[in-house]
This record gives sequence, C-alpha cells and structure tokens, in this order.
Amino acid sequence: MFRKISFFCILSAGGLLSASLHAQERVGTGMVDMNPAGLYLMNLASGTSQNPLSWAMPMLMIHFGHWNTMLMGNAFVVDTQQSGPRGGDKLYSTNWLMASAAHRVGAKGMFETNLMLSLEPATITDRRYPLLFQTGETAYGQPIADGQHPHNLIMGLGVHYAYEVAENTIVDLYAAPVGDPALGPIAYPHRASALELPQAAISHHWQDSTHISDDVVTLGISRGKVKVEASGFHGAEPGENRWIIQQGTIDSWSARLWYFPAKNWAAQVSGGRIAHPEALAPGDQIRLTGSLHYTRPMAREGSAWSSSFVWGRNHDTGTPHNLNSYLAESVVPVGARNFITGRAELVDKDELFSDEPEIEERLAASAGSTFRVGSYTIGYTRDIPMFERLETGIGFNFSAYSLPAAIKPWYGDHPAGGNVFIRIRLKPPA
Amino acid sequence: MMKKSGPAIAAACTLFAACIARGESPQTFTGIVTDTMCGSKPHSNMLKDKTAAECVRQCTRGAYRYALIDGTAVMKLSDQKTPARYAGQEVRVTGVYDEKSKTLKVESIELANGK
Repeated sequence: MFRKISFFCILSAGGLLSASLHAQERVGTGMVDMNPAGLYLMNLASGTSQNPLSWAMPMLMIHFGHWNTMLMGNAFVVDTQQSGPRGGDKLYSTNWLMASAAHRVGAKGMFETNLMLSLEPATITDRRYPLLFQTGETAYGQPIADGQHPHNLIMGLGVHYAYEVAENTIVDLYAAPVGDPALGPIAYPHRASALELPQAAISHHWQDSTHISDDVVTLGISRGKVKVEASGFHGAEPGENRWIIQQGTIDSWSARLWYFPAKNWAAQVSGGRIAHPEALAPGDQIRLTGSLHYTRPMAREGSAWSSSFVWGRNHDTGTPHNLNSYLAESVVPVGARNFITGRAELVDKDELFSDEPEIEERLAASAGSTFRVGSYTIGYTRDIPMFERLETGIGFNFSAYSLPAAIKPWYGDHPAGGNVFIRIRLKPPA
Repeated sequence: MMKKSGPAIAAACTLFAACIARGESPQTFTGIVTDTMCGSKPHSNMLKDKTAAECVRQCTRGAYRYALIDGTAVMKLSDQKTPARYAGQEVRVTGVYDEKSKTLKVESIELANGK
C-alpha cells in the first residue's frame, strides 16, 4: 500500500519538479510542444470529467522547457447563518488548488500528472459546516445531518497517459491513488455553473460525491463528439482523517457516456455500483446519473453564462430504497463585474435524522423514512479587482427550502439559510 | 408631422455624431487568422507536426477563439464562423475595433490576395 502511494507521489512530484528544474531553459506563458492528446487533457476538469469545450477554465499556463504546467485555484471565506433548531452559524473557508504538468511522449502521446490540494481540513473546523438538509459521511463517529463535510487535503493525485490513435480519436488511461472516477456530472467544485456558489449542493451524495475516491483506474476513448469511459475504484467515502491518503481494494465500478453536440454543450449518462460507500450505513449503492451542461461565452474574455441540469438516483441495497435527486443551476455574468447565480434542487432524503435514532424511528412509524426536500438558492457576486493575478469578489446567497409537513416540527415551517462570502480565484492573463 | 418627427431626427443625428466622435467607422485590417491560444506566437511552438491552419482549428475547438494578428496586435474576431475557412491564412478584415474588449466587430473577411 505504502509502495503504491509512494510510487504515485514520486511520479506526480517528479513531473512537477522536473518542470520546475527546466525553468533554466525556456520559461513562458502559454503552451508549447503540444499535440491533440495534450489539447484533450487540457480540457478535463477533475479526473476525466469535462465542462463544455467553450468554457475557458480560469487557469494559469506556464511552460518550463518542454513541460506545460497549469494552475487553478479557488477559495471562499464564508459566514453562514442557517435558521431553526437544526441550523447553525459558522465562519469557514472552502478552497482548492490544482496543479498539473504535462509532457509530450513521442509524436502522439502525452503524459500528465496532477495534484489537487485543499486546506479545508483546517479551514472547516469541527469536521463540518452548517448546511440545512445536507447529509453524507461522518463527523466524530456520528452521521452528518444538516452539515457538509470538508474535502481532504489531497483531493486528487494521479496521472494520465493519452494517445491519439487516429484522427480525432484519443485513448486516455488515468490512474489515481486519489481521483474522480467516471461517474456523475462534473463535480460541483469544478462545475462551470457552480463557480459562484461556495456551499455544496444537497444532492451532492446522489450525483457527484465520488469525485474524491481512492484507487481509481479509468480507461476512456474519445472520438469526435462522443466519449466512453469505464472505471474501477474503491467505493468507501473518505474517512474523518482528512489529512491522509486512504487505500482500499478496487471493489466498485462505473461507466459513463459523454456527448458533446457543439462547443457550448456537454451531456453525460453514467452508472456504477459503489461498494459500501457510507461507513455507518449498510449495503452498496447503485447510482445512475444524467446531466446536461451549457456554456455561452460572453464578450468579455473568460466570462460565460453556464447552466447545468442534473439527475441522480441512488438505489441502496441495504435498505433497499430508490432515492432521486434533481438539480438545476446557473451563473449569469451581468456586465463586467457582476454575477447572478441560482440553484434549485429536489432530493429524496432518508438520513436527515440518522444522528437522532429515536426521532428517526418515530417518524418511520408515522410518516415514513424518506422525505422529499427542495432547496432554492439565489445569489450575487461582485468582482472587486485588487490584485493582478487574482479575481477577488464579494457575494451573498440566500436559500429557502420546501419540506413535508411531517418534519416541520424539527425544521420550522420556513427554514432558510444565508451566506456572505469573499471569493478569491487565480486569474489567467488577459 | 414634421413637429412630431423632429425630436427623433435630432436624436438620430446626435447618436450618429456620437458614433463618429467615438471613431466607430469601419476600418480595414490585414493580418493572419490565428487563435487566442497561440496569439502572436508561432504555431510550430504549439503543435509541431501540424500546419498553422491545423493548429488554429485544433485550438479553437476548445475555449479559444479565432483572432486576427495584425503585426503584433491580436484582435479577437466577433464572427467565429467565417474565419474557420481562412485559418492560418492572410486576410483582409473590415470592421470596427473595440480597444477595451480587444475585439474586432467583423463586417467582412476576404483573402488578402483577393482569391
């Protein structure tokens, strides 16, 4: 196990180090010595997921000799206020930084190593931040309800080898001790339409929660407008020690079909079997997802109107339940410095009272164990330029919820949540 | 009738005068059709085994846009369909250039050699 992690750490660090050692040679912005396989890798978000091609990722690109490096980073400092007896208040930060280095291998091949880091284990204290109706994973041995867990220090660590086997046809092999398998839409931290929302979607564990999985291997083939990929990975969700890399056997699988009808569109359907994902819940999950993503670039370079529509369904073999989730999300730039954003969700929740078994049993007897919850968020961000290489801004968002009458005694008739935040993002040169 | 249309004519004249004052009359620019990824850098740096035209087409498949390089100035082109025919070639573009957005609002594009 240690050997395997060490191998990938050395490989990834080696790539990044080698790139920096070549700094004595030719250093410059932009890319050099690319090929179609390299251009394909450059368009990937986390793992092998992909936003619409027309979305300009806010990415710094610098080459060191023949190494091309890319750097992206995003951070929010958030003050949240959530209403009712199950709500809470907190000051926290969500954040991530992604670095990758790519080098051509022969005429048609490209090797890329990437590393994604987050300081959330430190910047989200007590292993969660308040988020009404959010469920998934554990804190201090208890299931998290009405809260969102932090991401791991190492959100991603992996390598790609892509090869152009024919005109417009790329094969990509992705191996990652920590990575994002071919299951679900683009994960919300990397999704163009979620760019101005600091908090997680409450449908996260129905749609894109596998974005930090252990021991991921994915093989994909992309030809023209279609991409097909399949993954093996370890299904257990990250444990509470967020500072380490965990390991496990490859006990889960998934497959995904992408279709890119035009530059502004991306669509995927995917399915997989996740072995025992939740530490405290029995059984496996069979997950099906479908999503449609749209990006329309605006006149200002790097600015785009992006929207997503996502469906995700979990079938829990332990209970057994079929739980559906639906999400619509959009961010619209208004003028040069303003963003209006929104997210609407409907989710079938069965773990809302998993931290209070007595209430859960009482409700199960009287009203059932699954409750359809709606979350409706509207927000605004204003860019306030302060630094040349950073996009700084301030914003707020407000969420209202719909819920069944049976659970109103615990949440109130009109539960609501609000966030005020500062956003800092690495800014590519104009 | 004249009295009613008077203010509209005056407003149109003012608008026209404002456009002239802002220098928004079309100009002709001659340059090479490139992409915003490569910009003013040689395409051979980016994709060694491809022609300039292939490089431009590959780069514009993603988030990068067709642009015109006129000397050292890289101007994004408002029309992103017509330039596909002229990738890597020298063209003459008539349009209005907006310095702020570095975008050339295209009225027409033709090959510089007139073919």
